[in-house]
Amino acid sequence: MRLLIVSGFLGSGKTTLILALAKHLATAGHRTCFIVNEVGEIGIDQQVMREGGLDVWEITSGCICCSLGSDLIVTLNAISERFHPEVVIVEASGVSMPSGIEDALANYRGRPFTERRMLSVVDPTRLEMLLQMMTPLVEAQIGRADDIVVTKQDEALEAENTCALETAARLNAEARLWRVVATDMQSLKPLLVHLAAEPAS
Amino acid sequence: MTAPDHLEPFTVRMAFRGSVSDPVDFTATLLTRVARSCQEAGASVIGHIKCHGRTDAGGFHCSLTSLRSGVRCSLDAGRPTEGIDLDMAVLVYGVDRVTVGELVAQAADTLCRAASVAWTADAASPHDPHEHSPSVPATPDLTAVAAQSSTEEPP
Repeated sequence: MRLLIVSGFLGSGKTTLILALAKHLATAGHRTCFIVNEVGEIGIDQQVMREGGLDVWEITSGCICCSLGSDLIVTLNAISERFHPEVVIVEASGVSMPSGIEDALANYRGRPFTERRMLSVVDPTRLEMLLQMMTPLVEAQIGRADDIVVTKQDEALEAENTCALETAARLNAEARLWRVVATDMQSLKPLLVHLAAEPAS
Repeated sequence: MTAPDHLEPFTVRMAFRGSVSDPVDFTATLLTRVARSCQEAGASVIGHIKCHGRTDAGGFHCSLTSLRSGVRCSLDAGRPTEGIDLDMAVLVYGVDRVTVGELVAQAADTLCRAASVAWTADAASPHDPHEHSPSVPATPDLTAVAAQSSTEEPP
């Protein structure tokens, strides 16, 4: 079972990206389950995903990086035992600290992960401001990622893209960097192919 | 006001009843007004203002992350309707949830008066996103509905 955790600040484009990835994985024949974590009591993203035809488990009213870490493990165990998916995609809340999610995953005892990947979605149009206002959170989300996806290429200014690329290079030079428009399948295709590919054994 | 780096999530379930020529445009206008009001009230960061709406013609969703970018909706235009059920999340930093609730109510009231539409709302009980125990609700003039942390399976 492969685990993909999609992190990124509020409104960075996580849900839109996951909807596109879900279509790609379904077309490629992968059995995929989705877990969505939202900090509010009423989940919006899970409604959007269900409207997009996805079966979604929701974890609401808190964050899986701390108070709801055990809920994440319980949900992962249930999905693993009952559905045997090939891929599980977790949409972390926009305020999730990756280290907290990793701490929670240390308690997972279900089917072993054949791959565990952290993806960070970055909104370049707000990055400079967020780096000033939410420094630890935004730096952690970028710094712990295996893949950094810079979204909103249809509206970001050149200076904003430069800031995003320089920040990614400064905080996490090891990560693969992608620039996409999350609603444009053509721009997403290389990323989707990369994420859908089986890990090298 | 709260600390600039403090987020108090506010979510609300709203119902609008009356003739609305374009529910998507109506909703986009509401989100923009809420965002503008939050900014005027001192929000340090608009994290995400988003909603999922339902009419007799189907569902749609709208999202706003900054006034510069504006509202993005899943549909360009909606068909005329007699009602909209809307779930909205307002995730802004630096403005407490009571104030956010009041701003949402004011925005809805202004919009609905102009459009001759009636509206009601149930605000979900608030909590701190990084606290283990949800705090005691301190809701604005919207009816509070108790809600605990929950994990829910697909229907």
